[in-house]
Amino acid sequence: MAAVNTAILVTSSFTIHWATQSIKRNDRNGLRAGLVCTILLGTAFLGTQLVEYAHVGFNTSDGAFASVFFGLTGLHGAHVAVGLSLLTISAVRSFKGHFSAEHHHGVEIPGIYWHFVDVMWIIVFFAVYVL
Amino acid sequence: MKNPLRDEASAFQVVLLTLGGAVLVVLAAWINTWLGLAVFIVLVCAALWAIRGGLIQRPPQTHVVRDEGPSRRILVIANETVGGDELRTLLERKAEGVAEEMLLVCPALNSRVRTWTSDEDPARAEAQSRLDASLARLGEAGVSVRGEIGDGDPLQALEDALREFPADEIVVSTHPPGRSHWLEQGVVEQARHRYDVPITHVVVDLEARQTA
Repeated sequence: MAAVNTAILVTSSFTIHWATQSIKRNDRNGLRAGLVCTILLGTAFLGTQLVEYAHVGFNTSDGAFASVFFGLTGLHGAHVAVGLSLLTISAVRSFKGHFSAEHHHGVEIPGIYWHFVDVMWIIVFFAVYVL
Repeated sequence: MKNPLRDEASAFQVVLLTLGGAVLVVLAAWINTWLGLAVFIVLVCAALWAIRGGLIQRPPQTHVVRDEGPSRRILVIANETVGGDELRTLLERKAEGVAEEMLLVCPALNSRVRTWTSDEDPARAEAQSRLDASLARLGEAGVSVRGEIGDGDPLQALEDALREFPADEIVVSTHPPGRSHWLEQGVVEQARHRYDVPITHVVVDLEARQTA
């Protein structure tokens, strides 16, 4: 399940990159599609995370690994939620006609944040699930 | 030092490199645990080396997209020399006879140790007081200018300011050669290489003014 979640989040990095590159070419449809896809993928990631929590079979007080697991993944999930909020604001603005090839900080900065969250997940995934 | 999260495209590259690095570490650890650790250490060192400068010392030139407004936009970056007479005279001269917008950025200089171990509030407060005094003096001289506190790294402060204030010209104010950390670090040369706008370097000798 975590591997699927990793694939989802890595894919979302591609879609936000697509959105940013689109607005740099003044392609508003590409921007909107990229943002919507990223939001959907991020929401799917959080949903999958919640399903995993429900079926993981241990709780926060069940030893050191359980604490680390919930601490790391929970903190990361909170960052994903913040990223989703930022992307939602960007998406709403994009549908209102904001942003252009010259002025698109409102997309670029949430994009940087989203990539950062993705990098952190890759590290968390390999540290918690793989190694 | 290169900022690996300078823009979205750079951040995306970081994602891909991290993914590739993580796969390498896992494959190596699968063969042998110690090999995995060795690969991890090598990759971390390589990443730090790349961030510190790596093979490519200079990032590509950034094109500043300027607004086609009626006024000329001048971005000034200065810290301890922000109240210097030379800088004030230059800004007054540049403001004469043209409609201009001026933004004065004062980096909150902080030591690297303090940046990592504490907060930057004292550095920001000192920069703010210097900035306020300078804005007041420029205002008295009839120069319309607004100011803000910037990142402790002058090049990062420039980059941040240019995102919101696409300038037609940049003015960098420093101490004289031999006393200026910014000149020692090659801030003016790097700024000239990085941005395709005219950059004026003004030297402010505060010690000479104090001894005079």
